Amino acid sequence: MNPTRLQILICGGTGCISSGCLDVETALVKSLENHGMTDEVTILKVGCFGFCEQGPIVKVYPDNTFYVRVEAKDMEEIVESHLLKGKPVERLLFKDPETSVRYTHHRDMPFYASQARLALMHCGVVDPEKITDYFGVDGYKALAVAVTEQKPKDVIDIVKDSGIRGRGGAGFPSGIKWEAAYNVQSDKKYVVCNADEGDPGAFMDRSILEGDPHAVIEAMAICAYAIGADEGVVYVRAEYPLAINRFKIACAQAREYGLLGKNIFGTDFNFDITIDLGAGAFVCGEETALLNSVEGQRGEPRIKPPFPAAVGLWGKPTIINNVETLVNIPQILLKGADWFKSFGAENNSGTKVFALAGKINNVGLVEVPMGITLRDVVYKIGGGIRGGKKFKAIQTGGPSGGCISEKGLDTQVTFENLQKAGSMMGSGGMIVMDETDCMVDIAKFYLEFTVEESCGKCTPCRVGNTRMYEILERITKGHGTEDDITELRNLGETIKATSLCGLGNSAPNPVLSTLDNFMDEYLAHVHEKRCPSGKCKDLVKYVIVPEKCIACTLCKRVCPVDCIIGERKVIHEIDQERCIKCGACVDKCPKDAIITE
Amino acid sequence: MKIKSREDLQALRDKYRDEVIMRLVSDNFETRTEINVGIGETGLKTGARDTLKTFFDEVNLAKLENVSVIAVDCIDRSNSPVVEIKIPGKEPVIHNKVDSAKAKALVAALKTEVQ
Ligand SMILES: Cc1cc2nc3c(=O)[nH]c(=O)nc-3n(C[C@H](O)[C@H](O)[C@H](O)COP(=O)(O)O)c2cc1C
Ligand code: SF4
Ligand code: SF4
Ligand code: SF4
Repeated sequence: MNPTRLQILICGGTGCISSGCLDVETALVKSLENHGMTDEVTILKVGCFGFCEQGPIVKVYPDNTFYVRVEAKDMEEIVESHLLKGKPVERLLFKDPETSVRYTHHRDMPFYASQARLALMHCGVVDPEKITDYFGVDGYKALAVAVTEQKPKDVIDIVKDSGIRGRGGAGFPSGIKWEAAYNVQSDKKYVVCNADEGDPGAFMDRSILEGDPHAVIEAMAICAYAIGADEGVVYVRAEYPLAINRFKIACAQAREYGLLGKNIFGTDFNFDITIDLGAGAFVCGEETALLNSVEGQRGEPRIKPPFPAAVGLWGKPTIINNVETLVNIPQILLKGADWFKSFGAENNSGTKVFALAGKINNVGLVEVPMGITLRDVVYKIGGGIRGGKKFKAIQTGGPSGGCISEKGLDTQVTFENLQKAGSMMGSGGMIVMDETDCMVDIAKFYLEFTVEESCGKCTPCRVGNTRMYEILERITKGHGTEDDITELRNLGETIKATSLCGLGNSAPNPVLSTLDNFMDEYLAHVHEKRCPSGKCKDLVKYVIVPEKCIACTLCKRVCPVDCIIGERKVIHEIDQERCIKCGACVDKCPKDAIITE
Repeated sequence: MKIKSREDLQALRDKYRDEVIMRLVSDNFETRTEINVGIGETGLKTGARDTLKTFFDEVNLAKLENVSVIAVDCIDRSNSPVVEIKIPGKEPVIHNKVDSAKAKALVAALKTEVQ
């Protein structure tokens, strides 16, 4: 096929499909026909560009024009003005909400400028459903070189030298793990790709599977070659239909070209992949629970050691790596360990993908070099706090990560630093909170998730976390005591020390970190029975400011429980005993005389 | 078709490189060479689309991977088709009344300059 003068990429990730990119494509096809330009343009549906909030995104090559929030009705103008006459459609370019500057190239946009795309290198560049696109970007070359020219030990040495550490959360050096599996003698070994992605806010693994599935296949094959495995399993959550489908298509194509199957590249290396659908329990992302689940047993963690690298799937040596870890591998082999090490920080080479969310201007999927400060993530990439509000905290690491306050904003993002700050890397969730968020309530919210997801196998996690949740419930209802705060800390520390798996070990993080960083908020709840941000309903008090009240009786008439005392010419007052805190009176008052405190 | 060797893979890579190369180099817009062809209203009347096509085909034929041929609005109406060639680190050069023959010559000249 001859290349066309223009290529148009339409973001086809799960996020954009839900915001209408399919209609956009239909409209584009039609407009091109109308202008007789069908032959001049290739339309591609690619993986996520990351800037999901601005989707659907349409990118025009070779101009490199980046259109945002494109609707089907915009396509005619894009075709007529831009494609036919060379004049980009200004109004569809991204406009910075703070500076009102419009950007033509995505690389200039603050959202992208501080990013470094390694893991997401091909997302939004290759068509994930075409293996030929992947060939065009040197796809499968790393595997070819490995199996035809390198010894397994050579491959492991490069991975070790690159310093890459697991992106699934624990940060264990991948090369050392591979070496452990390589060193075990066994007739059978497995490679497992962990695509469970249990963190509700994270979607990097999904985006990689949707945007660059062949790189994951290639990486698994490389790993298999390095450790001496011939079977791979991808464990992916069933709620990811598009990712599963694209991955299946990719596997079928790889088989067709002999890149999966027997005698790969004409050598005696054999490898193939099956897909296993996870039911979506958070704990099943933990590697040993995952193995149990694949074997058809209950998804409960196993006691470690032995580690899966020695005794894994069906009792055989098994390497389990996260999707994002794996997707880096082919590039490391192609470009070398030093190239990879040129990104990131000491002992934390490379990049990490984060799902940025919460009260910031730019939300989406971002990939940054390790070592970037949280401040840069929040203000440079995230564009600062939405609505001009004040920053309060950033929560990293998923549901069991910790909340880092203003004074921790200059923390450089590395596995160790986040841990020191009372949080963790986790799967790469990053949620920003502003001054209107109550940190006690936030801690309760996260704990509720982990309590729900505990598998119940061990007591500290099952009982202890529930106890902590009950205490938080009491505090937010205004019945907490100072002893409760002490108890929270004691329980939290015990649970961390005695739980079997990472879920229990980390579940108290949101509570412990908020105790460390936002003790004043806990004390206000406990001593003054007051919620400083007004989030805890039970602690809110509605009062009428006498100086402002004009005795119009409007509030009195709307109160459903009739607890406002007053009449014309008599300043009104709320009977606190009977008030049910519905807030109805506030909206009615013409003088804003009713306030919460 | 089964890939049996590194050479087989390399052949496929070369065959399909053309399709992705545009997306790869477009992101390196500081380092790529740009050929900007004015094809606005005037350009359309003066045959700029043929010029554009010639540039595109010639660049592909010459396998100039780091050169992008871009259609832009009219640059100078009285000398259309006008083409601007921007080589990184050099002053952009404007060429007037570029027809297909001139386009071919320009690409030939560029070949020696950017490789
Ligand atoms: C409760 C819990 C949930 C986890 N969920 C995931 C997950 O969804 N995806 C993942 O890759 N790793 C998850 N992990 C980490 C895995 O146990 C394991 O460390 C990881 O898959 C190893 O791959 P890596 O070295 O490439 O990071 C989870 C761990 C715990 C304790
Ligand atoms: S720590 Fe919690 S989730 Fe992990 S094994 Fe124990 S009970 Fe199950
Ligand atoms: S908050 Fe509701 S219940 Fe309380 S005084 Fe106002 S209207 Fe009445
Ligand atoms: S609505 Fe406001 S101004 Fe009127 S009586 Fe109530 S508190 Fe006073």
